Amino acid sequence: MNMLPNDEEQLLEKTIQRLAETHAGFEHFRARRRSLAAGESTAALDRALWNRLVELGLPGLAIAEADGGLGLGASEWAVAHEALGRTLAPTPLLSSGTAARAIADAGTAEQRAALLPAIAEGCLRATIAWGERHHRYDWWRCRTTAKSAGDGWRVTGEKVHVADANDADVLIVPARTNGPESSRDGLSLFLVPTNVPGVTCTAQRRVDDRDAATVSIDVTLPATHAFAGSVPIPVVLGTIDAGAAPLEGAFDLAVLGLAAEALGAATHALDISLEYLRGRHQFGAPLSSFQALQHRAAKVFVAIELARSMVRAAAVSFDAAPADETPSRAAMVSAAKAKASDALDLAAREGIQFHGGVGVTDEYDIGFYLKRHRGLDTTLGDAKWHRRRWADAQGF
Amino acid sequence: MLSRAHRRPVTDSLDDFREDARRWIRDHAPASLYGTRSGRFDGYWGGKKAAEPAPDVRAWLHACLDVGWTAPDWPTAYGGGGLSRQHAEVINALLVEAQLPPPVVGFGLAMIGPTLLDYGTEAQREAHIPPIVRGEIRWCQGYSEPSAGSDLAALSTRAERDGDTFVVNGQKVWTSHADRSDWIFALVRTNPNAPKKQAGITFLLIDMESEGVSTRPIALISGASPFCETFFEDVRVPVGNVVGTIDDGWRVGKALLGYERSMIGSAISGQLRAAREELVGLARDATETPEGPLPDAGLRDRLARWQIDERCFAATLDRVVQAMKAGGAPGPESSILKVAGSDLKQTRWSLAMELLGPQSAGWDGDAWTDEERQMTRDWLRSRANSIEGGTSEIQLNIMAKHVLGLR
Repeated sequence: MNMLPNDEEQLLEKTIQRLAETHAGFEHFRARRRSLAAGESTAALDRALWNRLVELGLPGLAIAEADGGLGLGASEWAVAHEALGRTLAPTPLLSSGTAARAIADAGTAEQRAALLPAIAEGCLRATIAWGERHHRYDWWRCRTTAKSAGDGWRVTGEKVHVADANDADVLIVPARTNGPESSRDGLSLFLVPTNVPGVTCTAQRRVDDRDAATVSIDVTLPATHAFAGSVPIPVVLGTIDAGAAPLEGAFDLAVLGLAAEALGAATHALDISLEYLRGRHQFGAPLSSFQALQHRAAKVFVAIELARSMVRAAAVSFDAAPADETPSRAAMVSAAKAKASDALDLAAREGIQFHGGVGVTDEYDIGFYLKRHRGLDTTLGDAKWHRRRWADAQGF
Repeated sequence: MLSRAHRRPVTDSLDDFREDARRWIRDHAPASLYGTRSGRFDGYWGGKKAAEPAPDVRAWLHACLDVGWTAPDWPTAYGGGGLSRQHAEVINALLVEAQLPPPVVGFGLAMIGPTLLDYGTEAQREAHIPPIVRGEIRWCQGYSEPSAGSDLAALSTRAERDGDTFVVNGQKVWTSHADRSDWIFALVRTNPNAPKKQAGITFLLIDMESEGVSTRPIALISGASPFCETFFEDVRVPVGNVVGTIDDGWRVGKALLGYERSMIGSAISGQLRAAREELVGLARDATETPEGPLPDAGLRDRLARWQIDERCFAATLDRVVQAMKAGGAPGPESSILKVAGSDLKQTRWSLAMELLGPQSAGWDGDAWTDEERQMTRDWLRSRANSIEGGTSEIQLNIMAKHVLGLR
């Protein structure tokens, strides 16, 4: 397993890091917060930043070349999210790429052709509506239902914490068409346009300032719909009752992306903490000379590096054929998210402590990392949920 | 094609080499040695005081010697295999896969050999490397002293110049296997008046058979151990046994510590890998759940956490090894492995004790099985993992200073 990034990956990392530092730095982030809070703007999407990502072709990063994307793999996906995670850059890159993966795995050739190139170009915005209030992280336990209505479908239900929904054109909605609530069988995936009556996205105001919505759905969809001026395509993504299996790949890709984002965030949280420790003087010496702080910082470093190795191993083995000694893809990404999320939690809490009083002020950036951990950990499975998924995969 | 007589420069791809090597192992490794790698027998330590090895162990040693496989990436001039690091790793991976022990193990191969290759004179390399390669000479390490543990530079074993010899007086502690070793490499004080204590230290090779050298074993909380105290009373050592130059031994000694950290890191990884299934087995016994998910959610979470941490450790070891291949000697990143590895080992044994329950509290006699008694000893012994080879606190100091720039 090649544990070291190659030249292309390093170049991608540098390019995105530079982009994030220039266009997604904290001053930028704070300016948006101020204007959202003052009601000067309701724009969910940071369009300027998104356009920069579009220029680089990043919305198409994990979309096959034949479908209009860059055709890159899980390693590059992880590198991109790690780089953006450093400055907590608010982009819909993860939800968009995840939706694209679901369309690629579940969709017919006609559906892929109508949707994927437009997503890759950044002009069609899609996201998956994973969550429902009652089921925590077990996304397949759907109460949202879809019943046949003439040629079309009546979809009813409520989805929560839907990432980047407020500016999305289409939601991929898992809904039950058959079978009991807890079953993976009998789930279908619906392409739901957001600009129709009966689909209401109510924006959440989150502690991590990310875009998400509660979506209430009570809509009758025709059998086909034209998205983004394309030809009309069936609104059932893939095959009825068989929506869960193709969603597993998208789920794992999203989990890997979140793990990588957590890793990038943890790394930068430690970096700014180290800078603070070196610059701050008390008792006639820099804080960096105090052994208690040196040891605590080193322990954060160890946690981050162990997580880094796991994220890398999960990314590298993601698309590979299963090997004897390597756990399943699901187990690997779960291990990566559990470990990286815990590393971010540690880096953020310790980081605030290293900063002393200013660490709990809004003026300093370190607090944003703790806030982001809250949102990131509770998206698509928290650390404990993923450890249970590891145990399931390993058979104990 | 791998015989010494026909040894040729290796121009095959690594994949071809791997296939040849796999075939060679199949043809030459004695059947009884398969599967013995992770158990109590970790390999043949050799040396003049060694008991006669079992016939299969001897046969394995000789077969590997023929093709230079006791030290695959050392120069052929000294009996090594003359291969690259990558080839050596291919061989090692194949042995691990087959759970075969290396033909020879010890501090000669792991520590003093590489150090002599880096810092020794040609005469020293010619004198000492071939016997290490052949398993004929066993080495121990004379570093720590009763008053110089973490603060190693405070060592005071004295070496006074007398003509073309040094006269050595003092005491070393924690010398593993000193009572079974033929030679010792020691850090000694040659200049007690140097401005900095590091500047008066010399790296010296001493024959354990020299008059005035004696050893005494140290018992641990886990029972008998290979550790010894080693005493030097007017021991005469030729000046030619200085590695590097007089008073410049600290540099050589520190370089060797990097090799020691890597050695400990790799040794641990095999044991940790075996523990993946062993802990699950103990959990199944403890909860009487022969198959399927364990009934205790908290236990599942703790086991999963340990297994994930172990995977992170194994992946980090891979990263460090690959980075070393690209860039040379072990760097401060090896401190991560030392800290993480000892944490993992200690948690592993804490978990095992919890799972054994009341049967974890045994020492001797029939109330406990052999396995239970050994596990209790292993648990006690694991408390030393965060202390030996550089305490975890020293490792954190190293990381803070050299990687994080905190000083």
